Amino acid sequence: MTPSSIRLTLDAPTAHYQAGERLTGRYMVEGTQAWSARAAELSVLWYTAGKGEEDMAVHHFERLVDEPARPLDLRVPRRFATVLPASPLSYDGQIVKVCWCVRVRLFLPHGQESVAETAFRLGNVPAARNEEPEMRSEERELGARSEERGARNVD
Amino acid sequence: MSTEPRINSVQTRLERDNPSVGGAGIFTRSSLVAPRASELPSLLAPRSSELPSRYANPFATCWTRPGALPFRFADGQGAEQLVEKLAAQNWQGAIVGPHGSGKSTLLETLRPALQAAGCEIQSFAVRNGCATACGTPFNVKFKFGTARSITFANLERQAVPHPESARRPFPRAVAHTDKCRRLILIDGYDQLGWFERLRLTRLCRRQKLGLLVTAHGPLRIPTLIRLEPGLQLVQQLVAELAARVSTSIGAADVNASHACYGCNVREIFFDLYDRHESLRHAV
Repeated sequence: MTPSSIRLTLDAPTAHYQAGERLTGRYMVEGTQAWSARAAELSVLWYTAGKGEEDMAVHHFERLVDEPARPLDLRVPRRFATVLPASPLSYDGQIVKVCWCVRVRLFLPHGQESVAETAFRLGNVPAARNEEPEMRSEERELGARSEERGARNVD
Repeated sequence: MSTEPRINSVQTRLERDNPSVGGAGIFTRSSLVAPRASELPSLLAPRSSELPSRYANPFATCWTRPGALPFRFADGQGAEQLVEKLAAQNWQGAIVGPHGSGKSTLLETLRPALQAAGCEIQSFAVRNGCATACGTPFNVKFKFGTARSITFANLERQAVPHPESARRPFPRAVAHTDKCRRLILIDGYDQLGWFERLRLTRLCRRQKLGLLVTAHGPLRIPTLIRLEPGLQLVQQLVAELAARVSTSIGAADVNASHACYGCNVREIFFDLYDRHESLRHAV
């Protein structure tokens, strides 16, 4: 089974949610060997990414197990839903980013695993702005002013 | 840097807050751990580049931390060769190199090879003079998760009564170490005080424990390998990272970073992280 055979989709086309909003979606496995998965785990989680220490927490978790009484057929789309929390909100910073995603992990025979992940945004926190170009322009202005002053003094 | 304690705390928190998912066989640790390096490229990329995710920057910690980026051995060298050399040194060895040269990464890379060689490993990371236990301990009294921060005095007290040595004299109890050697890994050995180092080496000698450490300079422990990454290696690593996550960082940026930070690859990655962010936000 190829890893890309997991199809994970969110119902909201923009993948943009607000705190307290209900996140819904579905996942399925495409391919002839979809039946061979022994278990599937779905997690809605946040993690931090950046230059320093990493953190993460799982907000929603569900696990499906292949049992004789209830065979796990992932060719049938499985729906999931959860109400998103108030925090932490997604943030695209320069040093750290707070990232939300839905992750599906398949446990295949012989200890193999397959993972698919879809990111989404929670909240409306604007991305960090790069101050450097503005600072540079300010520095240029200051530099130009000082040059003007220097020229006047010389005159 | 390790995410393991965090994961454990998350797991504990989840089990406490959601008893319905904490039952045996329902909640597993596997869903919490971050994807392994081998499966990261297979993950689906985020829908939009505007969404914050680890795919925004190839030099983020999740891509560059020890274990995520495999250690690159010099030609003719490999993990097995180093384990053989360590065995020839009576299982005493130091990985020596400056800051950010890949000592911790090599230690992580050697771990599977050491386990394959029959070593039972107890590893510690020393930060600010405090040793933190990582991984499976030797002793059942040494509970993972409840007593994470330990001193080596505790290690000495707890390492002695090995479960199999309780009922027979110690020399016979450690006779099995030819096949299953107990090995202590210490990341940041030279951050320990001289007295603790002395006690530890004595403990290892007395208990016939192996000792593999990382340090910034030569020690009394025989040097296993000396690391001095050059520009070519940095370029290879950057190319490997750029293959996972696209970046507009070019060879000129890599050369400039290398000129600033020399063989400190960690700082080079930090610098390239900043350069990538500047370019990304400027666009």
